[in-house]
Amino acid sequence: MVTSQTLNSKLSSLQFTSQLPQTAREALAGIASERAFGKGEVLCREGEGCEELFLINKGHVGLDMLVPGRGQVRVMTLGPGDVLAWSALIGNQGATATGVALDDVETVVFPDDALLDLCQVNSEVGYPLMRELAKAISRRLVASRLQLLDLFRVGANEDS
Amino acid sequence: MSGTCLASPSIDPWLAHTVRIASITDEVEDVATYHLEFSDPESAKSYSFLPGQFNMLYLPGVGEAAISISSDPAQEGTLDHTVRIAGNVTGALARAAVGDTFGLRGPFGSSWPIEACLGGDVILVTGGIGLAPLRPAIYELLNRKSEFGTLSLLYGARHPFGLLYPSEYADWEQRGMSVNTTVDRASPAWQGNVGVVTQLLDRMPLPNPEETTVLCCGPEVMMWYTARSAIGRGIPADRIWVSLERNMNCAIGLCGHCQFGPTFVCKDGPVIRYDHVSSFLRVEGF
Repeated sequence: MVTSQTLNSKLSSLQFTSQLPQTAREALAGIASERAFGKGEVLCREGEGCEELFLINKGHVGLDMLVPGRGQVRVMTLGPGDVLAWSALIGNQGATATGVALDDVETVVFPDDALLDLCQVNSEVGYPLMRELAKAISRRLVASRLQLLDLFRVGANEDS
Repeated sequence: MSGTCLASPSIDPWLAHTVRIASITDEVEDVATYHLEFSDPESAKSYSFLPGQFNMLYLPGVGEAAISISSDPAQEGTLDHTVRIAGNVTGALARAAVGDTFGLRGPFGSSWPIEACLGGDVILVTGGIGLAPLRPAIYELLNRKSEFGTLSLLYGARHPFGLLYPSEYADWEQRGMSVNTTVDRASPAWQGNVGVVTQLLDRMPLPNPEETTVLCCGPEVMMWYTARSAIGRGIPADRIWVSLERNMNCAIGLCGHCQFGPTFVCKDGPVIRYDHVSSFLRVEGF
């Protein structure tokens, strides 16, 4: 049985939650649980609803998008400290990519309903959590832009 | 901490040594490593370089190009240059064969600050052909592994077939350097990481950021975002070093072709402390 104290300690060590106030981490630990996935298991599926937010504690998760004619195309790999399946938390209807465990993955899981309720009633949790989520999404956006720039294409960094 | 790690060039910087192509290793598309040996044994004996420095390779009738040295400074016999076809000189080099001879001036420029890394953790962040100028530093760090903390290489490429020197990764890991690769575009068979190299830095544990040094080489946009990420993780700006690439012609700071703000990349660089050039890195036209 994982105690709230153990989860709180894990949240202190993960980059996403380490900067949150201690009281916010304690409140989050109260609604969180741990879940492990074996290699190949799917955490969330593109287009389908996902009612939980995952915080990766160990292992790697591939983000795949289905492209007609090409099948599942891996667009990004997530690792320890990354968040997964935040779409539902900000009101999107379905996951925008399929998350597949690439090795043994350990996660801290937050039910979306409970998490949103907590953010709604307790701004000392909600504000800093959403701020960290915005930072995580910003990092993901910058990474996607750098991928779009295709910097390692021959000639990409030359004038002509 | 000093802003540059200058080394003395050979006595006469205009003197070209004759070198012969001893062998050629095809690396990835349009990239090969030329293993060169000096025609004159005395030149071979007196020549030495520091990790990060470059040579001017002179092909008679074609021209001269600045190429980073990519071999182990402790290696005897041959001097390696990993070259991508990008212009006239490198194009002519790509048509050269084993046994062909040409001129070599150098070594020139500043070096990676190996001594400044002593006792701390070192992270090498690189992308594409940027691994070539960092490879001598990798050898030097591994040859002196006990003098440093943890050693990590974060390396990104456009696709899995663009990763340089893959056959060496296992040896580097076995000798004490963690090697993490990532690609922008995965092939179906690729089982490794997908995404840009800055993401590897973002999620890397940094137990002692204030004692960690970052050595970075790649496209300037990549280096800028790497520095931004490193500073955001608590690594001081004066412990971040970048290797710049400009149009280097004379290699001794006379012609001005490689001027970058107040810096001459050939003489003050190519390895420069990030905080000395950061204000110029995002200036359009520089």
